[in-house]
Amino acid sequence: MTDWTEKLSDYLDGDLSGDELAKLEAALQGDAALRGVLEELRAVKDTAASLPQHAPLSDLWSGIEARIEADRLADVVPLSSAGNARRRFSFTIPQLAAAAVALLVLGSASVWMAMSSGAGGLESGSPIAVAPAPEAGFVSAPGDGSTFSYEATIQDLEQQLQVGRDRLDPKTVATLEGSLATIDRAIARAQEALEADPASVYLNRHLADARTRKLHVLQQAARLARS
Amino acid sequence: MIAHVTAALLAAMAPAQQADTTFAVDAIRLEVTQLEGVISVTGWDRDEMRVQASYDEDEGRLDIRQSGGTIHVSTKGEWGEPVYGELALSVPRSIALEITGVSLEVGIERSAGSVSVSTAEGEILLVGGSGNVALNAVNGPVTVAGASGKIAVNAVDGDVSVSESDGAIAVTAVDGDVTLEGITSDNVSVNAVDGDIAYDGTIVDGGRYVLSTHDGDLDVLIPNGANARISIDTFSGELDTDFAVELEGDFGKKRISFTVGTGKALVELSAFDGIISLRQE
Repeated sequence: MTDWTEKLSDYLDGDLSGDELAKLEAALQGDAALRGVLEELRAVKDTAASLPQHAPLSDLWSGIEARIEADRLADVVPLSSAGNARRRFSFTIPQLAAAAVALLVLGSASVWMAMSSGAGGLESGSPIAVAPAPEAGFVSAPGDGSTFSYEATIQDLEQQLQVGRDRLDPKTVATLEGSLATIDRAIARAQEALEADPASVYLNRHLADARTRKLHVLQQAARLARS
Repeated sequence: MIAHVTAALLAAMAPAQQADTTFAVDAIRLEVTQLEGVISVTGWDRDEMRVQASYDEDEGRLDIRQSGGTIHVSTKGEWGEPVYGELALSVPRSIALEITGVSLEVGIERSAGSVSVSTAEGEILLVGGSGNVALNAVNGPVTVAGASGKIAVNAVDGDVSVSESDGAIAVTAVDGDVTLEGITSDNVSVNAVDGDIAYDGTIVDGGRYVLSTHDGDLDVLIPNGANARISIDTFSGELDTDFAVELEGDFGKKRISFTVGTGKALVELSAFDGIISLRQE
C-alpha cells in the first residue's frame, strides 16, 4: 500500500502528474486524515513562503560564501537576483515537523531580540538573515554572526532561567522544573517511538508539539526570571 | 505626557493601609501591575472607575496614573518598590484589561472588553470577556466562563476550565486537565502534556477541532447532527467509542479515520498514551 503522506510535498509543489496524481487525489477524497496532513503541510509551506526575504547580514554571507567556495559548489544564485526568484519549499514529513518548530524558533528569536533592545539589540528595520540548515534552520544573531537553532535557543533560555532563578519564588521554580521534566519525559518517549516508526506523521507531529511546549515554558520562565 | 490622576493614601492605619477612590474615566485600557496580592475586577455600566485598595506597608501608597488612553494601577512602597496589595476595582465594562503579577490571584467578572492576565503563582478566574482573551498562569488553575472572541489560555501547572464560551479557543497545558464545556466554536485547539482533555461543544461544518494530549485521556462528545471527518491517533492508547467505526486507515499504526454525516468539519484527536473516549450525544 502506498504511503501517500510521502507524496504530499510533491503534490503541493505540483510535481505529480498522470496516474500518480490521479491516485493521490483519489486517496485524498477518501481519507480525511490525509487531507488533514495536507492542510498542515500547506500551512507550514505558506508560513515559510511568507517569511520576509531579507538579505543576510554581510558577515554571515561572507562565511557561507567562503564555505561554498571551499566545497566547490556550483549554481549559486546571486543575492541580487534571488529576490526575484520564486521560492520553493520541499520537505519530507519529518522535516516538516522540524520546520514547524524552526519557524517557531525564528519567531521567538525575533521577538526575543526585539525585546532585548538596547546594547546589541536590533534596531528597527535591521535585517534578520535566514538560511537553510540540515535540521531546524537557523537565524543569525545580530552583530556576531552566530546562529540560532532549537537546541541553542533552549540552552540559552535554560541559562537565563538558571541565572534568574534566585529572583523567583521557590514554589514557581519547583513548578517550572517539574513541568519541564514532564515535557522532557514526553519528548524522550516520542523519540523512542519514532525510532521504531520514523515515518509516522503523528509521532513526528507529536514530538514537534512537545518540543514546542518546552520552548514556550522556557520562554515563560525566562521572562519571569528577567522581570 | 503622563498625568498623575490621583495618589490616594490614608496614613496612620498601620499595619493595613486602605484607600478608596472613584473618578471619571475616558480611558479605553486599564493596566494593573501588582507583584503580589489579590485583584478583583468587576465591570459596571458607568464611565467611572472605583479603586478600593488594602496594603500592608506603613508608607505604602496606591498609585494611579493615566498615560494616553491607559490607566495604570499598582500599590507601591515608600521608595516605589512593589508591595503586597489587595485591589477591588469597578470599571467600565468595555474597558480592556491587562493584569500582570507574580504571586497574584485574579478574579474578573462582568467584563465585556479584551482581557490579558499573566501570573506565576495564583488562580485566574474570568467571567465574561470579549475580543482577545489571553490568560497565562504558571502555578494555579484557570477558569473561564461566558467569554467570547479569541480565547487563549496557557497553563503550566493547573487545571483549565472554559465553559459557556464562544469563539476561537486555544488552550495549552503541561500538568493539568483541560475541560471545555458548552462551547460554541468553529476553531478549537487543545494541547496537553500530562493531563486529560474533555470537550463538549459544537462541531460545526467547516470547523476544525484539534485535541491532543501526551499522557492523559480524551473525552469528546459529538453532538447530534454533526458532520465531521474524525481522525484518531495514538501510540499506546485505546479507543472507546459509541460510533460504529469503519476503518479507512492502517489500524496497525494506531491511526483511525472515519466520517460522520457529510464530514464537513475536521476533528483530530490524539493521545500518545491514554484512552480516547468518543461519545455520541
